[in-house]
Amino acid sequence: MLKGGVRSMENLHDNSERILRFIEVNPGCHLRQLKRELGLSMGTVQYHLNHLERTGRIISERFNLHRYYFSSGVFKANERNILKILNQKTARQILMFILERKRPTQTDIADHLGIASASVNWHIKRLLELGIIFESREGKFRRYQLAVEPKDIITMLKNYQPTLWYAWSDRLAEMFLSFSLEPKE
Amino acid sequence: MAVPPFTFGPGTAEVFSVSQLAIIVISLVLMALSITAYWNTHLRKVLFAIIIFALFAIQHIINYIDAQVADIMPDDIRFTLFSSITLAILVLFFFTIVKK
Repeated sequence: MLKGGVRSMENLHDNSERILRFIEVNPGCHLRQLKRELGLSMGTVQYHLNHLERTGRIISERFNLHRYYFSSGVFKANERNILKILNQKTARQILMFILERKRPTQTDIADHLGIASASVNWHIKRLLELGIIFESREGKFRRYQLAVEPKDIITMLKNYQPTLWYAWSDRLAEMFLSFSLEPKE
Repeated sequence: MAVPPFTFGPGTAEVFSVSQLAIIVISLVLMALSITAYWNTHLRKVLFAIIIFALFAIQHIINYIDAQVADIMPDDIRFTLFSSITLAILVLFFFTIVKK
């Protein structure tokens, strides 16, 4: 009984540390990402996130469909906004295209990425809301430019976007974890 | 019954060398990936992965050196070592599965 209790406490501590470590390495991650990558149940992840946030070790910000998690006291507001975007595939691709092309229109972006104009429009609005880009008119065209320093985005990208090596190491860890997962009830 | 000394047949030495070197390189890459995974997650289970891939690399490095570079140990010791390391790898793998 006592041994079981001690083991449960160890598990709780382990899970909490794993979640905290994951957020440190992947700032701007969201709930489903944590659940998927760490192989924990939604309830467990939510419990630990609430506890970590209450104790001031992490902070969270809601944006669009997700709540994003960051280590406390590490990032400024504009850095957190960039990280939120870098964690979404389409938004990240749009941002990278704007960084590369300097002043593209929505049509340029939609053509380049091969996605619907409506989808580009939706993401552009979110980028404008966060103050990461700004809009300028040129005749009948609306063009989009970065409102932040490109080097800030590149630094964030280099430091916090997982490289192929890190993605592989995560998969390897997941594989070894999956060997001993208890069968679902 | 006396066992004749081991020699490679025509063309087999090259295949042996290439496959051994490939095994060594891949197991070292997998070991490095496990070390990165452990660094990121601090999961004890990933420690098993590091040990498994390290043992696998050591086993094949010894095998390759002994067969192709220099006779570092008698064959009976090498065979015993090879099977002991294989057993250790399988036991560790088994523990990874059964340990909660």
